[in-house]
Amino acid sequence: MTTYYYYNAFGLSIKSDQELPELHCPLLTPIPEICISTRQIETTSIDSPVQIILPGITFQANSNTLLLSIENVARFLVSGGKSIIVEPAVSCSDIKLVRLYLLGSALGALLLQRGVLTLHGSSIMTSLGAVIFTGHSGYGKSTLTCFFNNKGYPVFSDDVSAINLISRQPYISSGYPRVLLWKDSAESLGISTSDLEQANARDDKFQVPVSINTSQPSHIYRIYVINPLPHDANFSIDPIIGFQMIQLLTEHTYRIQFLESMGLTNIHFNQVNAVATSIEMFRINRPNNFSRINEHYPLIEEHIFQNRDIL
Amino acid sequence: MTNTQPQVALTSVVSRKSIIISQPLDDDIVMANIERGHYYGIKNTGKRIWELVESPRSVKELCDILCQEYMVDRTICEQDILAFIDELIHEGLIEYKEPETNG
Repeated sequence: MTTYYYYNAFGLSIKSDQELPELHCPLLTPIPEICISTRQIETTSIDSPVQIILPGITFQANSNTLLLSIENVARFLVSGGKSIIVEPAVSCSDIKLVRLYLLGSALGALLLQRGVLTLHGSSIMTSLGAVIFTGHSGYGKSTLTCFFNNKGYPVFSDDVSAINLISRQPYISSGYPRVLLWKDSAESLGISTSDLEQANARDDKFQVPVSINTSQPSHIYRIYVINPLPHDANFSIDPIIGFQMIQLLTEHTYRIQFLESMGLTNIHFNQVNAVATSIEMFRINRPNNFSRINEHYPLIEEHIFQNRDIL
Repeated sequence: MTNTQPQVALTSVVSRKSIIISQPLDDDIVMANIERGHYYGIKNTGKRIWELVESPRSVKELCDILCQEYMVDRTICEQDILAFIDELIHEGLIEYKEPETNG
């Protein structure tokens, strides 16, 4: 008999035939919204060209189904916003690496199929509402999130932020109760990695447990885009308005490559517009200098509580 | 890219393509060409032109209106508007046709 595990992430109930320790709140529901099963993927009828994301990472998609292939790791068949079939590669012995792609790109594709706007960003709860920090990989989203968590701000999610529109207002739900940090990022915050679990055997990244916001979805108040500058540049924060908001929300949409083949551009454009009209957006121009992180983070915290009209 | 760039004339009648979604955002107008998966933003006089081509108009008529509304030399206005309209056609945002001749 198969044992099933039940979880909750991004406001959705999940039933899985493998344990997913990265997720939180084992939650029993009679009818889960998402089923994750591990088995061989039968022949698929996705009649669309194979697209390459990165060397060794490819996908094929139509409006209902997406097949994601990670060479030497796993293949994932994501269907109808409801199911993910995981087929680990025979050569792959690192189950954590399989879960990294399952809970990243595969779950990201499923959220897109459900019409959820998914940004490549980490998010925290403040007294004014949720704040998302977005930016490309390596720009310091997770480190910033960890800084805020250490100061007592609950976290919604790390790396992927799922936005639902309710009456055209953007709301965020919690993702995973951990932040992934590179060893040097953790050390810059004074966190020792010796007691932390390594994210997978391939990367020098560690799982930092964080206090997560488990309450109802929260209204999004601001989005900050992290813009790294040369080592010796000056720190500043500028407002972003108009079409630039659309450009940046699109640039930082998680797995934007999936959207077009799934025929979701129309929905996406309406979503980013709805977000842009109801939140405030700023760009954090931050010199890429670990030794000055402790000077800059309090300035970001202070900025969050300043009214845009006086900025 | 193709070499057969559309060459609109002052007499050409231009209008928005019905498939294009557009809406105001702050001081800009943002729009999407869903078929191509591209998003655009326009402002200032470009925004005014976009408002005006909601219904079909000749390029000459656009120039008449903009010359009234802005301090601009007629010849420069015509050149700039023709170039801008060409660009909008190239991006698949508007369509144009030559005026119907009688008989």
